[in-house]
Amino acid sequence: MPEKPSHQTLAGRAADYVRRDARADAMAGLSVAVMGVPQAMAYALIAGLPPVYGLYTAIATCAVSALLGSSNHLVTGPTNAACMVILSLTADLPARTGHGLLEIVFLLTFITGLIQLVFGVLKLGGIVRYVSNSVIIGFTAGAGILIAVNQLRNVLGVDISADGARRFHEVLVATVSRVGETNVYALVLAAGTALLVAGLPKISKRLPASLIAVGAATFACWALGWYDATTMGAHRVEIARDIEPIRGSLAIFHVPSLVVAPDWALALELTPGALALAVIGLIEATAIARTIASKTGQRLDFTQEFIGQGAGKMAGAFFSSFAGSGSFTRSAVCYQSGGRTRMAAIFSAGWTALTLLLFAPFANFIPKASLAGMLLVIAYSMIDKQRLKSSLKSGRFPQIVLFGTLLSTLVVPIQYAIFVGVALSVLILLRVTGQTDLTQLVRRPDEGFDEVPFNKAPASAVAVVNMEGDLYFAAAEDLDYELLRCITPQTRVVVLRMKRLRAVGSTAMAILEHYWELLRERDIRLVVCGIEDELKDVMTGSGLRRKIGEENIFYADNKLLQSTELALARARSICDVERRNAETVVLDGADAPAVPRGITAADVMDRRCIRFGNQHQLREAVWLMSEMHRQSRSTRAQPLFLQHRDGTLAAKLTPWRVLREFASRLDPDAVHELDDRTLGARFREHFTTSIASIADGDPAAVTKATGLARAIQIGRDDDVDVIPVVSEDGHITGLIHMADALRALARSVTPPEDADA
Amino acid sequence: MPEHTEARHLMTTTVPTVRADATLREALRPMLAASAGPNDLAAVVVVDGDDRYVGLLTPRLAVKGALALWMPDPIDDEHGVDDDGGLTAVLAERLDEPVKAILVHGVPTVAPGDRLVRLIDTIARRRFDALAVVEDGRPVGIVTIARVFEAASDLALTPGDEGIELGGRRRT
Repeated sequence: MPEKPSHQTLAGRAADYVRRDARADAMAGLSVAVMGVPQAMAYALIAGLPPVYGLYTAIATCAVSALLGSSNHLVTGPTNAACMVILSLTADLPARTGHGLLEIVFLLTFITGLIQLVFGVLKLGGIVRYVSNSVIIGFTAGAGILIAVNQLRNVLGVDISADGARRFHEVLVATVSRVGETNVYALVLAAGTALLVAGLPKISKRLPASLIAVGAATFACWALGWYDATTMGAHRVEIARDIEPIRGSLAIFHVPSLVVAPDWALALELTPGALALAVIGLIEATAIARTIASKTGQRLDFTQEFIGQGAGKMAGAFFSSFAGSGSFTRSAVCYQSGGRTRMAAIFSAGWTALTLLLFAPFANFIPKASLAGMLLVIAYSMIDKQRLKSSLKSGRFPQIVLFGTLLSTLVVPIQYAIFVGVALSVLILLRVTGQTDLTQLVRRPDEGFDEVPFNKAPASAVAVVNMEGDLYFAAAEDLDYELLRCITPQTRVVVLRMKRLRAVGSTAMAILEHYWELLRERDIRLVVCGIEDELKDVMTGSGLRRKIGEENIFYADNKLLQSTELALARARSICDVERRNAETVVLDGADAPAVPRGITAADVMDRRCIRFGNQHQLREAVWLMSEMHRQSRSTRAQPLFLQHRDGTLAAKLTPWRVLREFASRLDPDAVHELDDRTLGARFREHFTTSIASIADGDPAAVTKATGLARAIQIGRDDDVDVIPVVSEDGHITGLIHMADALRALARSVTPPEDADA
Repeated sequence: MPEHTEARHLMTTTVPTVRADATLREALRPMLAASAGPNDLAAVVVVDGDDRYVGLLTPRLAVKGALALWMPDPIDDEHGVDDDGGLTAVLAERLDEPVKAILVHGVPTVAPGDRLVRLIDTIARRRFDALAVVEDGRPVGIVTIARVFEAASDLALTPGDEGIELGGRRRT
């Protein structure tokens, strides 16, 4: 961490900043600009606007949002889905209302910003929780499809404006029907750009692929004169200059006429769409900021973020910008390029402005087809194939929401798709409220589990709760308190198994967090298991991982119930540790007799022992033994007693045996050259060894009634420090440590006054 | 973080010692005082009049040494409770003898610079509970099996194991 600033005055802080972070931020800002310039222009194209307005947005909105926002890495700019919504909202308005497209867009931008600002001020941020992951994936995928279909005509270089196509299928039909009119030159430029954009990152991630691709296409177009109507005739390629000449000037301040002298009817008509746009923007910004904050540890102020976003748009409307929002790609590049503070975003705005000033003449020659080709590649990436596939495998209900939202983006105007998605979520929720099944798992003697109805398990120190089914947010509140009902006076640890739960990440987090707090109030510990990858990421982001404690979280694995087993071992070890000081050795049955009698195993045995199935591999055993040592912090060796499936004592695995196994394949001559890391790797090679094959089978054991002398004799003859005590049916019930045996013996041969305290 | 784990990184900073001519009872007292937990003691180093290393005493080694000559008749388990085969008597005698009389010989020592592999080899081969770390003939610390095992398993286990993340352990 950098040292504290030397002065708290503004000048002092500025000087500190320049000294410490300015360079990193400037470089990060440059990386963002390099990636972002072609992207901004392409995204403007999505919205049906001249490319240069994308640059204006990347300058003005970005700067204002960064100044007033909170995240150090969130960079605002044009985004693909938002631009698609803008197109959908505004494309036919100029014809209908007689206003210019740009003025309409500025009005829309202003209203959207206002809504976001209000959300921020009124702390309505919670609304984003009602838009589940499935809705976002479906929406983004649908937007991707729409973008691709809409850009197809630019790729082919055909003009379908005469066809009056607006809906998705109309556009598709109109474009396809004109395939015969394809402008080969446009197609070449588009394909070339697409190939470079897709292919260059595979060569090296550090290359600014889109900049190179678009730059190359522009150069080719200019050098070969493909833009020139005089030489190419009808086959000329449309360039940026044709849409609107790019002036190398930053005089972008422009009072939007429709804002100062509103067409109220139009404003009203735009508001629902603006609301959708506002919500989309807030969701994107929230998701990005949270993802990055989980990596940087920055604590975010979401209210501040909303205000920043809203203010950015409202100001942007006065600077020729359309509604940009938190851009994932820009923010990711900013973070990965070493950006440290919000100044990085401002630097990126600055670099973009500089690019505009210096390269405007060149930028004018950017072929529309090239930008379209780039957009095709981007659109493809918007469809999260992996998530779509895994959604097909998961529950019916998330599927309905996801694909329903996706379809609605294509069928109804896209701005309503979000609302459709939310509506679907709510409708389904109403159907499945209370469909989270809770059962409890009870350990069987043969090491498996029995599932019993919730709250009907026998009281014990460890309660294992199995959560199954679909979990939706409104059910969450009741669930927390429902989960409390499994707690008995004896309960010390609750193990929550979440593997078979289909839950929205944020919902599950809210439940877990609340439950953890409820348990903490009751002085009960929480262990969770069966956590899938998705949930793991969300847990990290929400800080819950730290609260519950890494050692109390067990991730889902392929082997059935393995994470549950380990969670149970952990739970038991927690109980053991808690009992440490409180435990007294309990004599079975009878009261202490008045007549001194022989000391038996029962008198000295330690009931704290962890049993482990002998079917496991060395990896799990090493982890468990390491946990045991860590928990008890004793200096004594802690052997692991292994049991058969039926619970009878099978074998003993000692730390020495494990160490010998680790060292077994090391070459004695070369071994002293190995550093710790290599040594660790060599040890790991043994992790897949089955412990049954290396443990000491058939360790000598005693029963509770065995006399102390016999126990000590075994200790001497077998040279062991720990002897297992088994019950009649061969189950381990305790351990005898040689030190405890000796102590008891020493006391029995020593007059009481001399005995140890 | 050292590149090589050595005995000096794993050993205790205090060395419980007892004179070779102290009685077994006195020698065992600190070890038997606490039950297993953070305060327990795995071993005591036996030293001579000049504080030079003579041997090591652990509960197991004590049993081995003190009862070396104890040859009980086969103990009948059913009556074992009351018939201890003379164990009590033998032990009662041995408790008052000097430690050096029951000391098990041939317990190896290690040097502060000895690396983990050597520690593993020494401690695991004959299953010692602990080893004395000796420098210039004087004991400077004790390395226990627990610490050696922890060190080895720390190296082997990675945060990716079963998705279980281990807290980092400091090497002191």
